Amino acid sequence: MSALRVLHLYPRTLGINGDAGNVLALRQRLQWRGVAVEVVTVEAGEPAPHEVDLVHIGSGPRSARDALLGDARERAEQLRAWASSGVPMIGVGAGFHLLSRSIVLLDGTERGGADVLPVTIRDVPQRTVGEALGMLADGRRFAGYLNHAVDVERHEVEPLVDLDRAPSAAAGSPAEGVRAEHLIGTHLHGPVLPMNPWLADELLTAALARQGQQLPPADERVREVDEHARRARAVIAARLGRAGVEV
Amino acid sequence: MRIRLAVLVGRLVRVVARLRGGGSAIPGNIALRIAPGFLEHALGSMPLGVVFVTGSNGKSTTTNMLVAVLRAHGLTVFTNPSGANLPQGIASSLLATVGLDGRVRDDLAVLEVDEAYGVGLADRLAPTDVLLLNLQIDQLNRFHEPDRVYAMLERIAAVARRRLIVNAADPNTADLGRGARADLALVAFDVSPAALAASPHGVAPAPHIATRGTAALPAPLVVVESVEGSTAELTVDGQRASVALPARGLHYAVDAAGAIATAHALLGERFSTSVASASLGALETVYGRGEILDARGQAIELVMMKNPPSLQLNLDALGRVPQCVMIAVDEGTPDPSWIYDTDLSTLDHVDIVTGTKAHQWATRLAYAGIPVGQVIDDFRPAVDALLAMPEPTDGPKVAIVNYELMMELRLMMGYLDLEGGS
Repeated sequence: MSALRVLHLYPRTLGINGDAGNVLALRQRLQWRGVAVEVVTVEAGEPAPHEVDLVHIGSGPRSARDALLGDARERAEQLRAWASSGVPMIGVGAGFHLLSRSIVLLDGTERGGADVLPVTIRDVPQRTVGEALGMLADGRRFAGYLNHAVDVERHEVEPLVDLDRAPSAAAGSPAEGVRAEHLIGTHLHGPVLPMNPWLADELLTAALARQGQQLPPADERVREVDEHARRARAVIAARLGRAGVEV
Repeated sequence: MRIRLAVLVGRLVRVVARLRGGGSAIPGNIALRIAPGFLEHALGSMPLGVVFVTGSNGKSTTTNMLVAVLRAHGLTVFTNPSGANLPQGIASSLLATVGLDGRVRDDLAVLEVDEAYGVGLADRLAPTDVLLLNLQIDQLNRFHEPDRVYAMLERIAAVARRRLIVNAADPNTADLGRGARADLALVAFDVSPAALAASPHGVAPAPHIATRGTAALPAPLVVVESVEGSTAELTVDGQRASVALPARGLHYAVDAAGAIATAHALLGERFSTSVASASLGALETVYGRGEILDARGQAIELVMMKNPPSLQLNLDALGRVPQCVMIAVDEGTPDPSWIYDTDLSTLDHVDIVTGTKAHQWATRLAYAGIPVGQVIDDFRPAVDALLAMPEPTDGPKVAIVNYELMMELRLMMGYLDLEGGS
């Protein structure tokens, strides 16, 4: 097959929280396993390739998000076509919001998003800031850092993870992000994929499966970086009062 | 009466705090408790005004430069030492200089102010002149979004009574200039396209946040034409000038341009380019930036990890691939995710990673293909291990540190003057 093509949308405008690290993790985890990969970066107003295998959109300030909504809507048809053909996508923070059905601004104005993820994003005055820890039903753990000021209303879709440790503002609602099969929206930084590499591998597995390929097994370099990430999660768990839990 | 008491008690506390090597903010804090109006009183009648210097990066350096240029022209200047840019820090530094009447006797004050606290300080002190350096990605755990910092800078600028000086090479400060009140004198400084292109990472502005008034900025009073090592070629009011910088790097040249533009505007006819460049040549390295620490007889070069642009610029300014490196970062940097936006190509290995964020750093280094010698969770044993390594032949050992662990390292090595600067 030709190289797996990762589309990184708006890397210059949305990328203030090390989101380039998510794309770096995706790329390295393929290269270390001997899978050819090509990263295509596309800013607002620029044409995107017709065929892509994975889409990443990073985080950024509210002003940048609002300024990009028009461009995201213009790409919505293409994004939805990819999504329905099984192309995995991950949006972080503002990138997550752009993929939503709509965004309700603080003044009550509702603006349409790319409508890839069945959620409504509501801007709220109070921010949620701090480290977070969550656990999936199968026992895998999520760790990261939250810094956002929205509520997420999910329309018959599951959260990405329920947090069991979260900053105070999020305490009332343990649900974080959204997951619709291979489509993911989250507010976790870390960045989220280096910090939680199994999620990176799930996205890569889905992208390769569309090509009839499998993700080759981890080599020594993958195992080494994942051990650093595991210890980073363990330290966060300990800081959040869950020292010693399996991460 | 309260002012006099505040000065007396504050001074006493200051003497005690300095003997103990304690924090610099405590005496000022106490003075402000006794006399909440201490700052306004002390700085309320400066003959030539009060200048605020603010922005994401370069506040200390620029303030230092501006003060040097003004003093070289014969003015007496009150200023706050580098980093003491919160109200209590400014009050602490005032205690050292005011008379018992609580008033500063200098010609003018040049204050480095924190972006967030600057809003309140601007309301209290009504600065005559405001110098806006830049808006870069900084402390997102604290400021949340650069949008909020933009609003802070906008509010500080709105309080200026006489003049606004802006960096035209930064899209956000340039915009704030275009939106300035019509009655303000507007001064710009800029960086030539050639100097921008020659710098490995440019001026690293935050995303462009808003578009204000459509008025054009005035032609820049000072332009950075080129930077060669630690010398910058500037055009000052149409005249070429060569100035020495405290260290390598375009950002220091931009700081110098901002300082000279502000001094030129303040001094008018009295301004002399040769006096200005001579005064910059006599400056020492700024606290914590490229600073060499004496660690039990060994030299350690500090690379500050404050925010993405400053880490990048400080790494670029190293000027070598260091032979012996430690990275030490703790909870003072709550979310270090942004280290993935930093180009680490000046490192070919890291000997020791430590601090509570050590494993996040180790993960990042592994993805960059940069080998790590050891991760030592606790800071003090890590410092001991660094000092036990063989002396490099390329210069001092290098410690990439955040502010909190830099302070801890200074304490460990017996540095008592935590106010920094001089």
